[in-house]
Amino acid sequence: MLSVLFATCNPNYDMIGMFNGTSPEIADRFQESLRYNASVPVVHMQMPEEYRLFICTDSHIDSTHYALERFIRAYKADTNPHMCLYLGDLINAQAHFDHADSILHLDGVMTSRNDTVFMTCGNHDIYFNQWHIWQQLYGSSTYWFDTYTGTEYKKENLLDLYICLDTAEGTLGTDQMKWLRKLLNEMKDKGYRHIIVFTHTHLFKQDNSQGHTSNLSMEETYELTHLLTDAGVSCYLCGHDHSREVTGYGNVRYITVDSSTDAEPYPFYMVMEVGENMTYEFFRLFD
Amino acid sequence: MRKSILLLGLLLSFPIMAKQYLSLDGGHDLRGFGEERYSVSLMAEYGYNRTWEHMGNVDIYAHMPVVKNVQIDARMQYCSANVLTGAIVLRPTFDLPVGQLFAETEVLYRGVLRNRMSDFCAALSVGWRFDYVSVQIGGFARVLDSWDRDWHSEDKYETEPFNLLYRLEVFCRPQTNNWNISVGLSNKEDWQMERMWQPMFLFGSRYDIDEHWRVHLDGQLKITGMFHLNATFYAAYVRAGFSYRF
Repeated sequence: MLSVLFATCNPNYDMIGMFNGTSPEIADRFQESLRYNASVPVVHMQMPEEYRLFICTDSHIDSTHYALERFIRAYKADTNPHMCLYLGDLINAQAHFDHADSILHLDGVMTSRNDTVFMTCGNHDIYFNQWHIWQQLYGSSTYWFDTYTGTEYKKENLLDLYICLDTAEGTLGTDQMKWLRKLLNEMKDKGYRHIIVFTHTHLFKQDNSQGHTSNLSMEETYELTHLLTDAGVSCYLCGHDHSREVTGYGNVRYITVDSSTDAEPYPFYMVMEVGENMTYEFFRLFD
Repeated sequence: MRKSILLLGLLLSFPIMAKQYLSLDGGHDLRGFGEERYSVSLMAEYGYNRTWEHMGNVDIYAHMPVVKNVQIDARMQYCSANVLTGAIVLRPTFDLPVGQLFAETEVLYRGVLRNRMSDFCAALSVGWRFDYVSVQIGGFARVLDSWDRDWHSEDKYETEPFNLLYRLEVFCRPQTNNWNISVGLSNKEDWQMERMWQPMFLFGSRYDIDEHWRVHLDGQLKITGMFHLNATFYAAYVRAGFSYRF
């Protein structure tokens, strides 16, 4: 009772959202994302055959952003990273997008390189009806892009397919699931080396590390795991749990990346080496 | 002081002397008959969720009080979304001066034919059933496995070793009444066990036509993302049917 009372009084928690989310619901966010996608060209990233992928999640920015700043500096200082995935919950509550976003665009001598960040939104990002702020900054929460090698974008040069999903409400919703099913069906025979799906919410609940956060429903867990296995997806990357978890179902590896919030004693980020094989390593942001 | 103790003893023993259940609700919910006679139930169900969309289900229940204070429930569902579910519950009960204590051992198997996978849950729980309130708490383990698993690769199944199980149900009439209505909150119901942070809202009602026949109307609402603080509708089920007591 005390914890419920505390949560109710805590201005960081959008308690109305416990009964009805204050941002537009998933069906509307998905349509808005599709409209944005239609207004911009699909991203095809030119890469070497082996490259490094930086992954960070759950910074929960309030007044400080030390861990996120360290992560961005590590990313920009690396010699072969090319891009970074951010798996949601950039901010904790409200009114922190400005300075959180400014960290993602660190200026100075390193601005000209390693400046690509692909974002997905988390549940905290859309508290207090903040979806439209998130969307103004990052455009779309459901999209795909791919990587290729060589000088020309053609089938023989394709490397990896990346798919971003919006699970900020703990569901993909009907339309987004259909979109994913159709996309994977179209793409699975194109010859991609790896298919990587990234989103905010984790699928499995192996322990109680996650506190009071929820997964996708069981029906959606069945459908999504089957779909990912059937399409030959290599890896499902997510955050939300704040604790690291690496598990597998079918031939898909499910990786939950630790949080990178200043409030954690040991915030982490992940670096993935993508080549014919995929390997990954976690790095601590503070000693 | 002695008078107070005597009065307290009298108060505690009064329900035993006064109450004789004639037509009980089934176990801790409204299905079946809690008293020691066999019954079967047949229900038709309409459901909608955001993943499988519209579906029609057929539910069959058997309530078997094998010996005094030990009941076995068996149930099976065919869902038109191409999912088959079966469950068996062993429920010993213990009559108390106030209410009835029960323990449940439940195994639930969900064959998700559409996704060629199975969801197996095994649960242990204890509960306390009063006339107007039933509470139940326990834990369950889950194994998710694909029917197409390749044994010669890194292909894996998924286990979730411990989930909290809970159920709170409030009734508007005493069990001996010939009708009852309930509302509940739980992460389990007859056909599914959800993770602890995915509660379901339950509605139940029954009316006893005569000594043998009882009709039911039940409903369920699943809202996803409640503990994301971004709640949205996910699923709803409505089921109607009848029970026959032998």
